[in-house]
Amino acid sequence: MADRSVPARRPKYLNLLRIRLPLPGIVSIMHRISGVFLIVVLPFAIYVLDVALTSEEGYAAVAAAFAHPLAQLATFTCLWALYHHLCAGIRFLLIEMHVGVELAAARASAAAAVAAGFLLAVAHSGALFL
Amino acid sequence: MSARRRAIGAHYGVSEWALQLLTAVVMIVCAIWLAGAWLLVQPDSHARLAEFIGSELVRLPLMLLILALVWHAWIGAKSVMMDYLPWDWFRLVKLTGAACYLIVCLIWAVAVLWGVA
Repeated sequence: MADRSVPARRPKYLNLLRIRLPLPGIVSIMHRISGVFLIVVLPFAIYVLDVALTSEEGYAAVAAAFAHPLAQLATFTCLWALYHHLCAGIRFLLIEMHVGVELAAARASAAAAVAAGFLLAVAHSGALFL
Repeated sequence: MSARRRAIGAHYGVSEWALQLLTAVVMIVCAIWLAGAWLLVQPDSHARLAEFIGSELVRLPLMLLILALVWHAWIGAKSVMMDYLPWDWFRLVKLTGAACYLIVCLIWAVAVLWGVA
């Protein structure tokens, strides 16, 4: 019988290196990573809007900056994070409403969220830069 | 034990979960509105962008979106940090830091939006 006088050393924090996840779990952790990423890039988005709004020169400078491939790649990354976060978030909202709770449906919607998030980012980037 | 006393937890989680959902829905609704307005107006110069952001039909939903975003980000950042950053003594610093970061973002965004004529 287990000794109940000594509290079990339960893990209080998660060791990310020891976790192997199924697809819905990957969507979930990508939702968290994209969320943190979006918080980190938020000031850059405000800065770009600030510069573009302040003057004609600022607007032209922003337009010129976004002609650079690296800026476009960064924009694509931000859009991917945004759309993945959105799609995975809508999936969570549906699951909260008990839509698609069964394993097969949850796996399918996880794959759909990954695909939709990526495709929306590609389409939006294409509309912006092509 | 008194029947009124809860056995476990302070139930902060439920209200945070509900607020996370509510702010998400607010952001989605505002974003759809703003995307529609953007596609309708297609502001493609500095003057038209300033006019677009300056119109109350854009500025107010954008303001609401940013408020919901900062609140959503605060709840998300807090739960992520409490899950993964394992330094107990660091708790106050990291939570205060995140709060300051988001408050600065909020004030800056408001200043940018209301700086437009």
